[in-house]
Amino acid sequence: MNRWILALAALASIACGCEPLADPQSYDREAAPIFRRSTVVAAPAAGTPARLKVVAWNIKYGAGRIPFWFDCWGDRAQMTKAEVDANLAKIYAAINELDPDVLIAEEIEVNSRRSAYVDMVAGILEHTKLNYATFASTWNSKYIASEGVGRIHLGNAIFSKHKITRAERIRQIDRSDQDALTAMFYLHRALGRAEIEVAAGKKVAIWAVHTEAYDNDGTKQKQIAQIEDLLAKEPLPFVVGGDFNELPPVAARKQGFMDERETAVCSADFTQPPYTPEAMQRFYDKLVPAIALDRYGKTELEQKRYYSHSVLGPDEVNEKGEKGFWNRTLDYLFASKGTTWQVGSTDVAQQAGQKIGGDGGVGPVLKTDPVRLSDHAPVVGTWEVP
Amino acid sequence: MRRALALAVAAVVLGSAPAVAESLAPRETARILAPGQWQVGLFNPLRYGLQWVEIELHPIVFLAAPHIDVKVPLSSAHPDQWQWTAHLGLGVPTLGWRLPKPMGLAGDLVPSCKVAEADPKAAGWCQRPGWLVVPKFGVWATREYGHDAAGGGYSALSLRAEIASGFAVSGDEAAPLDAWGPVDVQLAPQVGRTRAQVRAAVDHRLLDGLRARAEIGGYWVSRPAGDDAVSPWTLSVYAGLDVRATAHTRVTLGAMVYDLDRRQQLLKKTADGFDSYSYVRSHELWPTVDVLWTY
Repeated sequence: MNRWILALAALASIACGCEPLADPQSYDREAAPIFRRSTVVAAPAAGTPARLKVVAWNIKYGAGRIPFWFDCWGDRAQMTKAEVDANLAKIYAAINELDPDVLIAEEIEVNSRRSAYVDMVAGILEHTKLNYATFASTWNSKYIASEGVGRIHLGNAIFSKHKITRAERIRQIDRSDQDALTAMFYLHRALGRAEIEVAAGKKVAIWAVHTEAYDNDGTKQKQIAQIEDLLAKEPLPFVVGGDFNELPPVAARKQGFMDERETAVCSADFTQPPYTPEAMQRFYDKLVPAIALDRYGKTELEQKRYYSHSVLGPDEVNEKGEKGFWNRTLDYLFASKGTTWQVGSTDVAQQAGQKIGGDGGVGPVLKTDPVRLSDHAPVVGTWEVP
Repeated sequence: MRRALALAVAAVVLGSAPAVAESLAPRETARILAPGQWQVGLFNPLRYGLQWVEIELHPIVFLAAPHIDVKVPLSSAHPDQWQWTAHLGLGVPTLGWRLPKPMGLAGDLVPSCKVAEADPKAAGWCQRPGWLVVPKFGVWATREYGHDAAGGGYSALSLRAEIASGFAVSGDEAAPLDAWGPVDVQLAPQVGRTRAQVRAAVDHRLLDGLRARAEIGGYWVSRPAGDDAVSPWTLSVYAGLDVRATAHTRVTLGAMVYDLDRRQQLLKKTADGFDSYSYVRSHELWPTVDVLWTY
């Protein structure tokens, strides 16, 4: 971010006494808002064991495959309302096709200029069968001058067909490699936590994660360790999911991804720092992964089946002329010990025509095409709670 | 070197001070500067009086965004009568959006389009303003009153209406800035929007060297078709004092309040205990200060 303009913004923050220019971050753990669909749709009985279909998806603020300036493949800074509405309509269709009981959504916006100020939490509630939602804000600034971003309000959301009885926003450790002004207007990672009543007297907890992507000071690793510590104290059966911005411990490729530019054209602020896949091992050791490490395989060819992220989509090419496709795994679902994932239900929903769970899986066969809807693919699984 | 600079500044500020200072004149009225007279501020533009007209430009901004405004009196100034003056302007702001600092603002307020500059195939994703011309048409009406025969001071009521619009010669339509109030109002035409404004000001003589000024303004800034998320209407109120510092120097101090729609979001509890977002207009308070030299 530009220090010169940030200094101006700081001056403005003194001048403008009414609305804070940025989220003051005066919390460690606080209640988060709970929203309800205008007309509640009857939720299916969870049964015994309770079965909840869970989807974790970074929806890239409804931008689909529009290349934004920090992607380094295009310069877009704003979308029109028509573009956002069209992209969101496809996201609603994909959610309805997957029909989750719980949706963990990252990079979801409720009032950002770049996404035409659309409230996407309300949009998903009103266009799917999900009845309740909570939103953990991670970036709430009145005006970001850099690249003309403007107002931004982004965060992590948890949606549920069943009632959310309690919701929290939990502050994550901040980066320490930015100056004070940049840090003030930068996004501040936070976890979302929701308690969901799946049956009378039976509650579960859902955690939404989106850890740091561009730090050079080990912030992401600290955030991942913080998540482990918090989950160790979670009293309810839980699922934690989202975009960890980290590779799995068995990742065959750790650098040199096809969607990275060979010639630098962007700010160094958006250069991918080295991954540390070993940081994710703790979750495989202590929790129940939706996709176990042995399913990933050992080679890139095998692991490709579970990749969940690509900056480039199939309608774009890199400098060598190669079309974009998922090229690394960054998104995960883990459940607490003592709970399980239904066999054949877990998968990464990569593209149209794919059967969820593979040949012996529970389906559905995807009609929507996730690779064109976001730079992340949804991770899917049916969670069984005794 | 620093001492020489200080002496030079002091000479400009204090030099040629008359024995008895004249009363401070009201500023920003329909009356134009006399031929050969000029005025400039730290932030205010340079104004220069010619025979029949006054020209106005901002010396620093001019290099990156060439522009010139001309005020043409349509009637003479007489006490207790309305004086009418036309205001015409033309600017070409594009370089200002493309040059890096300190000359321009590339990458601030509007996109820098670094990818497009490196890879022409990506030019279609660039959303910075293209080449624009910004004409401006306005009219001032001022009624001077309360003339003091001894000191020559007077007060003034001024009305001003103006429309300015950015016309794209090349490139796509840029998005509205949706920035802080004063930035948005000032720069809207420079990103291709149309801005209409109506302002009314009272510039009241308190003493020969002290004036009070109050102004209200209403602004309308166009938005692209289908973009109705933000109201195009902005209101402003200014109150301040002009204080004579030396015979040729005045200090202006004041505050400006803007009432505008910036999608300020509030969280509210519904009757059944859930949360919902509502949206209110924003209010911004901006202290203002400037030093004006008049010769």
